[in-house]
Amino acid sequence: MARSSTENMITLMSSDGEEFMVTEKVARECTTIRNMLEDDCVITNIPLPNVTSDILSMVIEYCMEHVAAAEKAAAETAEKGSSSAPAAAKANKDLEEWDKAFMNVDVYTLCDLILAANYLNVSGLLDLTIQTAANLIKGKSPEQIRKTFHIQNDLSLEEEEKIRSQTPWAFEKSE
Amino acid sequence: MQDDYFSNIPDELIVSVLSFLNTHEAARTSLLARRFRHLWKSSLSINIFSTQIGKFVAMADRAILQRNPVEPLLNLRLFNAFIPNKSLPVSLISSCLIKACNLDLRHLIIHDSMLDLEPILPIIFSIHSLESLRLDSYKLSKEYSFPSATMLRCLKSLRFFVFQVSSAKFNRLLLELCCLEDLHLEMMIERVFSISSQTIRRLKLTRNPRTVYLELSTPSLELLHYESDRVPCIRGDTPSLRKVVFKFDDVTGKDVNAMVGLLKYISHAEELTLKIKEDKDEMYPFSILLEPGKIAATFSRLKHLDVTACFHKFNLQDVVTLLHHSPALESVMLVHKAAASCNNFGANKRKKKDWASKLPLNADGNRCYAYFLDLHLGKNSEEFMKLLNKKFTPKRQRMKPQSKKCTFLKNRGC
Repeated sequence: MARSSTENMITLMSSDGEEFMVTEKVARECTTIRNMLEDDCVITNIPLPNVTSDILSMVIEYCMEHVAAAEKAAAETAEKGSSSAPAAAKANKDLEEWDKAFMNVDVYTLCDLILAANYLNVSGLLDLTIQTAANLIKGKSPEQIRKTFHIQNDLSLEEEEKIRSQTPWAFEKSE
Repeated sequence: MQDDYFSNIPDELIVSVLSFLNTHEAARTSLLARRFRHLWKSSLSINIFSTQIGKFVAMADRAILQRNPVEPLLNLRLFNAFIPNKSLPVSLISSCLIKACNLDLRHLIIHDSMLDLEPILPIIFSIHSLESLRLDSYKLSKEYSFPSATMLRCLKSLRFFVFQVSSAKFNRLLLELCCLEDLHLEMMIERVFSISSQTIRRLKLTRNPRTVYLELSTPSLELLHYESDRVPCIRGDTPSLRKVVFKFDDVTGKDVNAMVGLLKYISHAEELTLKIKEDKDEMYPFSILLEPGKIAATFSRLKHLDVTACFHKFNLQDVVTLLHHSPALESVMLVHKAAASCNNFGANKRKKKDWASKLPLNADGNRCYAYFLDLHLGKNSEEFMKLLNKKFTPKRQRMKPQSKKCTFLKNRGC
């Protein structure tokens, strides 16, 4: 887009000191940053002490993709007065495919992404990562879930017995 | 504990994850570790489905009735997946709903075809925070009078399954739902039905077993979606209509009048999706979208046309005529769906040749589809003009049955 050259650039700094230059529009996808910019509009350098550089670069990648998709749809609408339904449906599907491919990460990264999406308040990314985590729990036994998320079982045998007797339906295999 | 991937994630986010699960799966996490013991009980969604009534009762009791009243509950879905002819216990459902009433419930789905809704609806209609409601049960009698729905001031979306309540009674309910935007009725039993609402924007009527005479008084209606075996007769006032989806599965030669009337009725829409399947007893292709010899309606605002049908000669010819009557078109998608194969038992002996696609050859070298996008930009226009100027043999009538076996077609007035 020609406009981006005149747009404000913002520097985001990860916890390990790496700097990322992004357009203000991309940065505004993060509600946390948008709020900072609205409070103080001359700010150009934002330290993000809770996000590592590899995770931050992924969050930025996500925001850029979604900003680009929204810009493309808006440009089409402006051009024609209304968006073309088949084109919009295809664009939505493409973005969904992109999201799906984007979620092809290991569980450790996924958990970091959940934290970053929550901290930066990127609602689309938060929904996406949480849904992905839920899919990892679906249909698994407690032992398999512990293995997936590296959870240490700190329950005593008596406590386990008690839980099983309280909700026996949760531990039957049939459904 | 350094290893634990969840160790940094706050409880509230784990609760969000659990909210995406069915209740028995969410409850299973209570055995993971001490931290998880009670988290599932705060889940914002309760989704109970079971094939065993005893288990269902136990789950509903633990997850809903014993729920901490300070934990809000946004979604409640109760699915009866057990043996037919048995419904969920009405008393249990009633007490669950009374409990949910005080938990700020927004979305409710009850799927149980045998459930008697009459004692339950007054409770549901008192849940003032409700935004969407879906009830899949056929136990509402024709003469049922709905309780007062004035409490449902936030209800935006309503869906009923096997709907046999009379339209007078139903419209009395609609009158009270001042925010309703989406209405979906499945399997309407009444033949003549009217829908009157100032607020509805999207109307979906699906799986209707027979021809329906529908009277619409819906000034805000933007999307009309109608799926059925037969072509309905729709009349009324829908000035805001923008998008129409029609799907008809057993179209016969007799439906042409209804179809022409229907297309005329929606001729002010901007988007039209049409999916047509000829009845399996129809042996010969016929004209369904246009009455031979009559002038077609003009679709002055139609921008997007999407037709899935068996593109035999008559269907293609009719669609081309439609295109000629649609000056504002931006995109056209034509997809050929082959008619059911002809080697079934009985009289169903269709000749492949008659039912073959007559669409122009596409980029893939077949005749399965033809897409024309961005017509207003002048792209694709060459191919499109070719289609528009396609010459058809002047005879616009149904092929005559040739074998004696199909004289019954004549008897049916074809």
